Amino acid sequence: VPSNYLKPNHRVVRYVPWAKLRKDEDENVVGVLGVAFKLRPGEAYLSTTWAEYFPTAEPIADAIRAIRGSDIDVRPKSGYAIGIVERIDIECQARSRKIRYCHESSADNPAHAALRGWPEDDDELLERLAEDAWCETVLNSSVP
Amino acid sequence: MSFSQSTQGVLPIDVTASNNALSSVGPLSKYLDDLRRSLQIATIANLSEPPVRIRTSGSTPGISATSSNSLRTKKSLPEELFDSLASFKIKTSTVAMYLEDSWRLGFFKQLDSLLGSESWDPEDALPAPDSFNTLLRMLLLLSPERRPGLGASGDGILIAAWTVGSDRLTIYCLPKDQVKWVLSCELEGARESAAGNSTLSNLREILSPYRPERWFRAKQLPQT
Repeated sequence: VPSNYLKPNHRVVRYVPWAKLRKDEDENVVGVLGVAFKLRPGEAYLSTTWAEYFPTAEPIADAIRAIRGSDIDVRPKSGYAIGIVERIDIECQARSRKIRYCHESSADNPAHAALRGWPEDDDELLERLAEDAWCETVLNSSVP
Repeated sequence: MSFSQSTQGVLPIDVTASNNALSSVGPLSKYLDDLRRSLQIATIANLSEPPVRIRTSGSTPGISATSSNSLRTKKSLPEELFDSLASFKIKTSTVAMYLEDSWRLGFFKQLDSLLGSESWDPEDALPAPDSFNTLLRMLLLLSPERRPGLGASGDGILIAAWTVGSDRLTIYCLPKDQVKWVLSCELEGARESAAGNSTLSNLREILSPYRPERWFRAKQLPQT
């Protein structure tokens, strides 16, 4: 599959189910948990959607609509984490992880991006990524 | 009708009595009533999950031995979520005397939300009962005034997360009183982050250098 690499200032959007959103005791969403970025067994890369693929006024909203139109079973109470390539890279390089950010369109999502070389079993790094690199969260209900 | 525990952990249900008790009301309906009652009792016994097998004895033409498992059909995801939720609430209720009513009701609300069919990702494994045991025991041991936010990993591990400003504590509740914790917080003017594995019995002591009361104290109401 031919790949284009994403630029440092580009953003990627990741679907996050309710159980992996970080909440306070009153169920207010305050971010995402590190487990939102954990690979499932057998997954070779972290699956995301490239926002800058859409040359529109609302690339994040368009990326979310692309996710909704994909094979992912988007639940009403879910959210999306938005990460910046450069900030993800800083956190991962600090732990000697080299990530490749590849645009790999798929049949169900033309803006699909694969984050290859993703850490498999480093909970501390995943929590740091959730805190510092994927630092914006959008609720599914807030995007028409 | 009699019940006895065999030496092999099998609960035989003797239905010969029902054959002997065929009444004038109708032998077949009487037999079916007895059998239905037997199955209900066996199902209740099976909640504690020792292997239970129903064994018929005596001559009962046309009715063969069966197992309670074979009577079950595969449950839908909403049914499985409901069962998990019910079992977690029942377990919590057994320690209700240690929890304030408002705390417990808030916790139940969080469980309702976590395990709602509107919110659960069908790709994820349901939270493991062993993980919930650890979560509940941890909450009893730490006795936090502030409840954690609840989450779950894709492989059935429950997660307790406290967030106060930019200070974060995340605890993965593993089976058998084991926990994995990750934190980041301000300490002596510097940003600290740490992670580790622990048993529940050591957790409070391990967290103590990071002043965990910042997470566990009740939320301060804004002063007017």
